[in-house]
Amino acid sequence: MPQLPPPSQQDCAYFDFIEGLKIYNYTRNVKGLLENYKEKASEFQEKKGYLPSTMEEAGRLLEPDLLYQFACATQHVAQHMMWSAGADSVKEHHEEILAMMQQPPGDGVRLELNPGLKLPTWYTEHDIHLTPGGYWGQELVGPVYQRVLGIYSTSWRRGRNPGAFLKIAGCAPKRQYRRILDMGSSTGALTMALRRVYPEAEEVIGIDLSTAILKWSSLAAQEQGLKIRFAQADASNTGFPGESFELITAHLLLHEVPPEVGDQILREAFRLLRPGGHLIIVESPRYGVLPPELAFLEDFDTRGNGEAFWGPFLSRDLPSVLRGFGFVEVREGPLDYEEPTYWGSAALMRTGEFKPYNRWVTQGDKPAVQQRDGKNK
Amino acid sequence: MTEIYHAFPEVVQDKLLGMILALGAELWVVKDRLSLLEQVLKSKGIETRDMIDELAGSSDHVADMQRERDAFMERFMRTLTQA
Repeated sequence: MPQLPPPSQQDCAYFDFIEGLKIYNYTRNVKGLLENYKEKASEFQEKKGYLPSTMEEAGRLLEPDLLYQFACATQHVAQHMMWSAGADSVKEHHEEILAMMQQPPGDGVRLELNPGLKLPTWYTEHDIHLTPGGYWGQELVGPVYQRVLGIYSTSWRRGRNPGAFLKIAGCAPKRQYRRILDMGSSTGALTMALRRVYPEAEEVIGIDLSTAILKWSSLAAQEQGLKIRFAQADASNTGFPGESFELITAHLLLHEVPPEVGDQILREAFRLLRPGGHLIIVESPRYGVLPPELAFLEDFDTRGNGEAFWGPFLSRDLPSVLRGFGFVEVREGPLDYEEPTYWGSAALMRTGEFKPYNRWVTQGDKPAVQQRDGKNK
Repeated sequence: MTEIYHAFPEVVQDKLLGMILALGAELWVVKDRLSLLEQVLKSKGIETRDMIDELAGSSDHVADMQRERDAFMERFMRTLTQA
């Protein structure tokens, strides 16, 4: 990642405190809550003859628990503290960092900004996951992200491990792709992993709406010596020619857009893929694959973590949605990757503890072209 | 106006927790800095730990701090007596 001035003693101490607070919240409050829930679920079963089977039933048992209220309140506060600490840690170096960002990228990295692109209101009217100004409203959102992502996954002193992103990039069925598109590329972590995993690809493109974050991710790619094209574009209407990509990825994008925009993005992905091309979507596990109490806890993000579209997205049956848009061979499952310091699956469970369903991968293929004899090419 | 999220029955309860946690963070920053200061002094040959423990038991310090403590407690708890 681009070299930032080192954090001060005060910054480091704040980061340590916030990380410790999140770990405490999970290991005591959330875990204690789930222990209490087991007993309540048994009592429920005695009365009703079945265990709670819906998020609503599980929620009615969880909500009155004081640990639930403490866990939610603490997570909410910790998230605000995290963004503030991150912003404070770069404030003193504002001009120096801006000057770094103004340098045009070189060494095979292309940055194409579109000042005329109109940012949608759903994007600008929400401070997504409580980030002040969202991705678009602060110039230093890139460096702030770089500082805080480690705290978020409670491993800031160890640094962010690119292993999971390499694993996601390697999920695609083929070993070679000619043109790859990463929708909602954000800090460029997956885009860079795609370039590493597919070094022979003619083009790897990352698109995002945010000027500031594209500038930062292009610097990151340049520092890593990775040939990537970053373009400011709307994933729901990219402007790229149809059937021009063999692999498209969307990492933690769809839960941050309204459902109707998500549908447009999926339609756009289908249009952009060549026949036989692949789509990989990585998100938190959808509610339908989780036990109801974990789905209920995961839903905290919708109300308590500034993720207005989280619940509406994770409530959907994404595989069915993909099939509805024409994708075939649709499959889903946990990311097959173990790392002790990997982030958890939901806001209340975001800690260094590994869980097999930390990241959920949904994949689909664009049907291959049918030959005249009815066989697929 | 955006609705204010609150986990406890009243918003003010969440805000109080937020203030307490913010204070906790500030305290942690100070503890960390004090620890580092003592290490800096130690590197200069000044063993603060033993000196501090010795002074802590001195009658002058105890008397001073008891006065300070009582004044601190008055200020800290003043809100309980205010309407």
